Amino acid sequence: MSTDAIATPTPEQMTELQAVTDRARAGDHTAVPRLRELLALFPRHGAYFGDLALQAAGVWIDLAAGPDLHLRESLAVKLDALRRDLLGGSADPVLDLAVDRVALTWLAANYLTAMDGAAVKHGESPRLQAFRAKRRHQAERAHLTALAALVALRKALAAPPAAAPLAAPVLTDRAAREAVANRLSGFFDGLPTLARDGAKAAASN
Amino acid sequence: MGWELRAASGKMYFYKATRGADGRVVKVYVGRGDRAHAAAAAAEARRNDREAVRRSIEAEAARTAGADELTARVVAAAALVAAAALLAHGWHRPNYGPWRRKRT
Repeated sequence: MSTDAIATPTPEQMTELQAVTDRARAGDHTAVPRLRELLALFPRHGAYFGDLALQAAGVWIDLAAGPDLHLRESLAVKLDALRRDLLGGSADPVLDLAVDRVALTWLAANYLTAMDGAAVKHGESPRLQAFRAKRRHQAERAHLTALAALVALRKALAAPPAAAPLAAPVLTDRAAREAVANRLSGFFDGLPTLARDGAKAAASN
Repeated sequence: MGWELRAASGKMYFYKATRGADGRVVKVYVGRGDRAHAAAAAAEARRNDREAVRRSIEAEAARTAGADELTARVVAAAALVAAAALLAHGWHRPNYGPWRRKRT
């Protein structure tokens, strides 16, 4: 892929996406149409973030493997397999970026776990051990957050997006409010009530 | 903690700084004999150890700084785009908890 084809998102585009996302997060339903428009533009930037993730993965692999070419190759193969498994054949650029996030945090968490283990093994100073343990915990937390986001995203993308506004309809008059059926009413209709059971038991006695 | 000049005698005396039970730092007189020189050497060694640990922590942070920076950029972009996509699909995240589908 040539780098000319990659559209680098401008800071203004990212700032707008952040602002519109914040508005939608705060419950502003008017932000949703613009959010969808911005997301529709995203596939053009997907390649840029993909390249960034590739660079980051390369740096983590360099750190972990050092001059060991076998380990370097093994890590690259493992990372590819992980990305393929997590992507599950999807071509969605949003999911692709979420998978990149999981793969990177997985690499970072594993590298920092190995470093933490080495610090304990070599009897390094407690302050250095504490520093490495703290970084390991941060990396593990970041990995779990990335996984949670990926799981939610896969569920959301599997279902069709909500076409209607996200707001619940506001029922102004009393008749309209009363017309809303209780979703559990049908469920209770078929069940014997405790009072009815009690009366039957009394009649049989 | 260190050698202090006392004007009355015109001589240097070593004082050790310790933290009392109430959390306040107090200076404890050690003197100027062999014991004072030994205490000063021990204090210097402790200072050097602390400095070496600080340098190794800095080196460790510097070694992963490039990877951390690139990862942080990807993670921030992925988190933003994922949040945008989830919100556009009618999901929400109450009280910074897990993402949930909104009831319709």
